[in-house]
Amino acid sequence: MADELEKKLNEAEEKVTETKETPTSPDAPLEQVQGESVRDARAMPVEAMPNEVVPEEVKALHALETPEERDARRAQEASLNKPIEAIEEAIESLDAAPSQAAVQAEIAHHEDSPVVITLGGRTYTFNTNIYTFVFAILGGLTLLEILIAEVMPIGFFRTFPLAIASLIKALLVMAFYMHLREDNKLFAFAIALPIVIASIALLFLLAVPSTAYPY
Amino acid sequence: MSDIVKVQPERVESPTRIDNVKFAMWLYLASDVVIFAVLIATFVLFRVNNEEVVKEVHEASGLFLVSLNTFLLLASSWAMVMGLREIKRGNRKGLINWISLTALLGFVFVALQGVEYTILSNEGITIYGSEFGMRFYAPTAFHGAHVIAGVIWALAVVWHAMKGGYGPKSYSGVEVFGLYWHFVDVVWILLFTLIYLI
Repeated sequence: MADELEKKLNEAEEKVTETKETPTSPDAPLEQVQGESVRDARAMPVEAMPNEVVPEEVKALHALETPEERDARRAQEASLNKPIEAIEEAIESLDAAPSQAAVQAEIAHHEDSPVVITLGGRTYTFNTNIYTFVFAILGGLTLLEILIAEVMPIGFFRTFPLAIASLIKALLVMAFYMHLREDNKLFAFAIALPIVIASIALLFLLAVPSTAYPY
Repeated sequence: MSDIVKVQPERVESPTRIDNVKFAMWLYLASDVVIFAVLIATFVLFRVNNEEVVKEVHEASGLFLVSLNTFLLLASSWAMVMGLREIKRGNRKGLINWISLTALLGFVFVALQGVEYTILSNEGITIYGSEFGMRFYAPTAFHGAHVIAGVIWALAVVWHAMKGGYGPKSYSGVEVFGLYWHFVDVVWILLFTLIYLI
């Protein structure tokens, strides 16, 4: 019974797809074809389908549903679509990656604008380019690191702030000087992947005792 | 007769080519991350288990020289990105000046690293002389080799610019060199903290 019902539902969805105006031109953009037919049909709940394409058995079955059962069915239908939606989103994000022309335009905008920082509701404007500003921060953080290393004894309160300052400096160089802030996110992924794997491997190595195991 | 200057039309690079060249550079840097990660991990493991040895070395070497070197390398990264900014604006002379400064700062960095190695070897800290030696010299010397390669590359960029290369629509060669140089800077930022400060 359930199989038969599902078969009829699929037939109904196919009818909806057919009734919609699918662009037939070979030059029609793929997203237009997807956007106007298949994807809409898949996302459409049965209740929203045109009355003439829904079989009477399906209508009768839905009329017997309680609101809870209807919500559960819709949630199940939505969950079935999730893997496909995830793939579609991934493809769309790649399509939406900025072109080099757009990236360079954004970098040029940042390069030529004064640095504006908002802290605690107050806005501070520095009439210098972003690169010189970042260099000043890098220099300041380095001085702070040297001060901490000279003053604090070896231990957590020396290691932790030094590690944080060092990470901030590295991220500043990568974000502003290497332009990862504006550029294609694929570049950031390419460099982040080995860093993450190496960090995890280091944590495993640190867990190994320096002396031999007692067995 | 020597006043005749060949003016070549500026080459316009395709955005796809720039993306590909930059991605290739990022992949190379990713492979370099793996090598540096091995060297850094070796040092960190030694450091965790031999706190006193590292403390003695810190006291023997001092911080002044290596701190100065750190500022030099940070300044060279700043000079590099300023050079890129200039060529984007069509100022080739500005590019030549800034990248020359980058090369000079890189050269001084390597020279001072040589001075530091001499001081350390006089203190008995050599590659085979102590457990600390190899774990210290491997990452810092490997980084130093990167700086030497970077200085040569910077000089090549300057040479190419002096011959009329690069322009506001064809600067991917400068940009890719910049990625390499900043990466070398990032590695030093981490090495400086891990090896000399912590």
